[in-house]
Amino acid sequence: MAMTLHQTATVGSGGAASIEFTNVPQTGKDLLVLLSLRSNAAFEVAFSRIRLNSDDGEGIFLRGSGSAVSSGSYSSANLAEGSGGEATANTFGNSSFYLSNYTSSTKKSYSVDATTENNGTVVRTALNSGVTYGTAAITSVLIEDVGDTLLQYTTASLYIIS
Amino acid sequence: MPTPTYDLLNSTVLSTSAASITITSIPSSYRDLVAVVNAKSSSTGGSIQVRFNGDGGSNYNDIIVEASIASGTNTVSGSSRTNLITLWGQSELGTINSTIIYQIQEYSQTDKHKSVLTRVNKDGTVVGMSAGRYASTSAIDTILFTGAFAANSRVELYGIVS
Repeated sequence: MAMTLHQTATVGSGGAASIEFTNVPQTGKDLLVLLSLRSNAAFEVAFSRIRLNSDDGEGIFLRGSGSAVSSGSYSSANLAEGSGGEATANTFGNSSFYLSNYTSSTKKSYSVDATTENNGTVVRTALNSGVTYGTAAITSVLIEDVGDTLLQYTTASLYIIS
Repeated sequence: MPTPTYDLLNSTVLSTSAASITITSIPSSYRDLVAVVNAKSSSTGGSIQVRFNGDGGSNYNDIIVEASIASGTNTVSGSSRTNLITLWGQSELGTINSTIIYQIQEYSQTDKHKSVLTRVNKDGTVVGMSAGRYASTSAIDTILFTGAFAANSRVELYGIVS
C-alpha cells in the first residue's frame, strides 16, 4: 500500500476558521489533500486557500465558468474552490490538491483541480499550479477561507503517497 | 472513506542530468498506471515528451489546454505524432521543480487504444492538462520520458489495483 489516509477532519457545528494538519509524517514522497468546502463568504463561491508551512506560494490558474475561460497569476495562494454562504443550501465545492516531493529541500511544486457549482447559476472549474516560496520540508497543511468561516461539514482528508 | 490502492512499481531519481528516463518491465497485473514526474530542466531545448513500448511510429494523438503567465491561454491538438506532447507553448521544463502527473488507463488491455490524461504544473508559470491516445492495442510495458532532466529529477510509477 503506497497511498495512505493519514487524517480526515470535518468542521463541526459553529464552523471553524481553518483546518490544519500538523506534524505531517516525513515518510512519503507526495501528499494529496481532498477538500469538500463551504464557507460563509458573502458570495456563491468561496476563495479558499491552502498554506504549506504558513507559506502562501505563487502560481497560475486556468479557470472556466461555463461561458468564459480565464487565466492569471497569483502571489498569495488562492488555490481551492468552495461554495460560499450565498450558494444553495448543502452545496459544497470540491478540490484535489497534489504536492510532489514534499520532503525535499527545494521549492515545492503543487497542482490543484477544483470545482464548484450552484444550481446552474454559478459554475467554476479551475486548474491551479504553483510553487512554494520556501524550501523546507512540508510539516503542516492549513486550509482556510481568509476572513470567513468554514461551515459545518466542510471536510479535508490528507493522504500520504509513499 | 475507502483508500485507493497505489502500489509503487518504480522510483527513479537521477544522480546526474539525463536526456531521458525509461521505465521497463512494467507488470500487466494492474488496472491503471499513474506516473508522477518531479523534475527541472538542465538546459534549454529539452521538450518533455512520452513514448510507449519504444514505439516511434505515428501513433500518438493529443489535445492540450494550457495557460502560461507569458502568453495566456492556449489550446492545440495533434494527430499522428511520434510522441505524446506534455507541454506546448513552453515545452521545456523550468529551473524550479515542476510536477507532471500522467494517468494511463487500462494500459495492459489488448483490445483498445490507451488513453492518457496529463496534468502539468511547470514551476508555477504554466498550468495545463491534456488528453492523449496511444493508437496501439499492445499492452504497455515500457515508458520513455524524454527531456533535459537535471540531477535529482525523479519519476515515480504507481500501479492502481483493479
